[in-house]
Amino acid sequence: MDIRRQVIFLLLLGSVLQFMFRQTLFALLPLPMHAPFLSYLAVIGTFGLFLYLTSFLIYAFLSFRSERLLLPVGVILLFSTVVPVFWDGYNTTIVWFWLVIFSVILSSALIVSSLRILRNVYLLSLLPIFALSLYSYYPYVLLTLHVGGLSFPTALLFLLASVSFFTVVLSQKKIGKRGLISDVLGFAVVLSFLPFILELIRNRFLQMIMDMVIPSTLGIVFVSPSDLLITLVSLSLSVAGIVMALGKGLQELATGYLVIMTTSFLGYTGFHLMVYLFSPALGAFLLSQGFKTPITVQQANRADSR
Amino acid sequence: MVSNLNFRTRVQHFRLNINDVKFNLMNDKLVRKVPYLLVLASLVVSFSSIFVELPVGQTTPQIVAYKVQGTTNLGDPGSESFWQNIPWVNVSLTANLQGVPTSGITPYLLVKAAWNGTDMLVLEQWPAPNPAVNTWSASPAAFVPASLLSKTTLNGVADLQELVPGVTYSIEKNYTGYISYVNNTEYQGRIVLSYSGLTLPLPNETSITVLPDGRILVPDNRGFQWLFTNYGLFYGYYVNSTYYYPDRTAIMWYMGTETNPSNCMNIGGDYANENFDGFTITKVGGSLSSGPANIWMWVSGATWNSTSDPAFQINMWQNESITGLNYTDYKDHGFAVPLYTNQSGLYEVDTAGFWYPPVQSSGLNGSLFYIWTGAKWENGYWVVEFVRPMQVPQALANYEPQFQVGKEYDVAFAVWQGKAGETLFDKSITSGFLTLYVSPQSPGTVTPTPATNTTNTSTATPTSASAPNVTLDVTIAGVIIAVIALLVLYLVYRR
Repeated sequence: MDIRRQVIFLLLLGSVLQFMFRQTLFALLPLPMHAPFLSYLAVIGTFGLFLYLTSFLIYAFLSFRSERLLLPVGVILLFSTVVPVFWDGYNTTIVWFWLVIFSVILSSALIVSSLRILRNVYLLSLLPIFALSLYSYYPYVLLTLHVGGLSFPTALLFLLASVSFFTVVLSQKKIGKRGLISDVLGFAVVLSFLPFILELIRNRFLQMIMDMVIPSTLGIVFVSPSDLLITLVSLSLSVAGIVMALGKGLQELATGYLVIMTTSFLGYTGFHLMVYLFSPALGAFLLSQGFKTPITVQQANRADSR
Repeated sequence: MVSNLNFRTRVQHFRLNINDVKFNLMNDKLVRKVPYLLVLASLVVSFSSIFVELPVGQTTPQIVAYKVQGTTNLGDPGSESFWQNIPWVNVSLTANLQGVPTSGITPYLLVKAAWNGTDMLVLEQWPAPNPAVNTWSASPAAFVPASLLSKTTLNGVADLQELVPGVTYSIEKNYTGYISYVNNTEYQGRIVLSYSGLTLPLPNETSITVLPDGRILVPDNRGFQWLFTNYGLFYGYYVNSTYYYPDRTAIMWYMGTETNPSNCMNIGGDYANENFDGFTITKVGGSLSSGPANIWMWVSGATWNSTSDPAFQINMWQNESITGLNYTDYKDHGFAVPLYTNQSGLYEVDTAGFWYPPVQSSGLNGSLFYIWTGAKWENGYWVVEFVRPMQVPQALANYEPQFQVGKEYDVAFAVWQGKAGETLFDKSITSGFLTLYVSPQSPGTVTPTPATNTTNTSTATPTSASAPNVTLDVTIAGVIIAVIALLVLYLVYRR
């Protein structure tokens, strides 16, 4: 039994909960909605954040044999979790500043190291996702160093990443009933978005509402208001890709992409938490792990028989 | 080899093997339990976080308030020599209201912070190619007697909401007890708005203005803010070439206990669970779900000590019969309105309540003028400097932060461009709090680094292009250390 499978499940669960009930809820709480118990859901968000943090730690320590850079990542993350208990003002010291700079370099190195899977020409299409995770550190570095630079359209990056993720997951393990069902489910997800997208093009009223709702649920820096259509298309492909990946038993892929999708854009306001800072790199590593072992026909059949 | 050993040695060897097997079995059992133990530990910690505030490691602060020497010159903000040694921090802004064309006009804001032993200083600069001057902030204008008001521009004296183009209206006569006004003409019946299959009846005695091109304007109030935002009909605040709102900027200082809180203020009613024409509005407009915060708000149409500010044109703040407050005009500076927001509402930290309800009915006289500001518009940019004593009197301490050296504060920023239709809850904001650290260090001797804008498409460059950057030196040192550490790690692993 590979322990990491269970830990990745916790990581996925924590990631979903903290995204839905912490990041998203923060954007939703101010909106005028009839949801009197909405604020209570924030408790689930806190639970999700710590589940995400602890499973991240466990995963880093369990996986450092496959990727050695995960050991310093785990150590720094553990240290940053413990240190606030006994050191007030730790994050305003120059030592911490260096630690954060080191963490950014470490994370970037982890992403570059994860790029090894792109030796497989077929997986070159995953490049936009790695670019997205690497790009997340760019606005953060600009903010930290107090310098300026060009900004790229984040919605376009998201679209490219989602298209590449969907395409690659779709092409994985088509053999067997489970694979087929997953693909069908994925297309069902895309199709479920399609009438919505078509209606949105025609209906200005719906466009006004969704212009508020969709970016809010994704975090307001994620997209500019004019990028709604691109965002919806990207979102449909991302959700479909994640559903398909989970259906096909590609937990690492689903979790990795979800982690990148939900934390990449936090760099615009300085990530705030060390666990968020390391997350895009973790996502990239999980993606690479998902493609480490080629899936054989026997494995597919075994998966079907379970 | 084993066969050559004597009996005793064979027994010992056999015992050793048995022990190995036992150990392996134990080891195996332990290993099997590890996933469950880890899962259990993870769940215990996660559940504990609900009941106990557990720490989460944070990144470094994004803004540093350096220790400087010298006094401020609010008549020419940003000109003080100590600012030259502090780098700009480029803060990305985003739309507060998604889908509203008049929201999120300003893409970024440049910020510097310092303290000089007695005061906390914050310097802001942002691109404003079309500054809104000579226009009122509607709330204080409402306090000015008509005879005095008529001596000024009437720009901005009322905030008008514009509905989404394509919204139509009808007057339903079967609402017998209702009166409505369209372009100041009274009608018996109720105004019902229609848009793409949606019908929305408006409250009794609603007055709307219908422009020749069919666009509908509605006077602003919190109920309508909530209603039209809720139904996706809010298009922005109405402006034309001669009617617009003042420019503003605000700084929000979080005073709660949450780590990484949200800075989004609620869209809501005048009070909790307000019944607005049959709708229950649960939250109060401007309240902050994540807890208390202090806001410093500068307004070009009320708190800018300039002849282009109508409030200062008529010496409104010196007129005790209007304000009930004692204000001395030193001519060289204006002020920032202190506001206080928490989960229950948005208040003004004084006893007058020009913009929002006063937070106390007595004991805060003069607090409206406690935060001084200097402001100027130059080369397409607004430059606004805020100055407030590091420590505030005890009466204010509940509503404003006491600044301490060595401490850090969650801070958020907002900018309004009134000529583009941004006012009130329609603005450009930071998507979350940033952290500001009050450093005991001086900026130090540093090398000049050009500060260019990051997130906009504007071609203009900030006037203070030479921003010395101590951070850069520290970063270079950090990068060198990081690269060496990575090399050491690589070598260790390689062996």
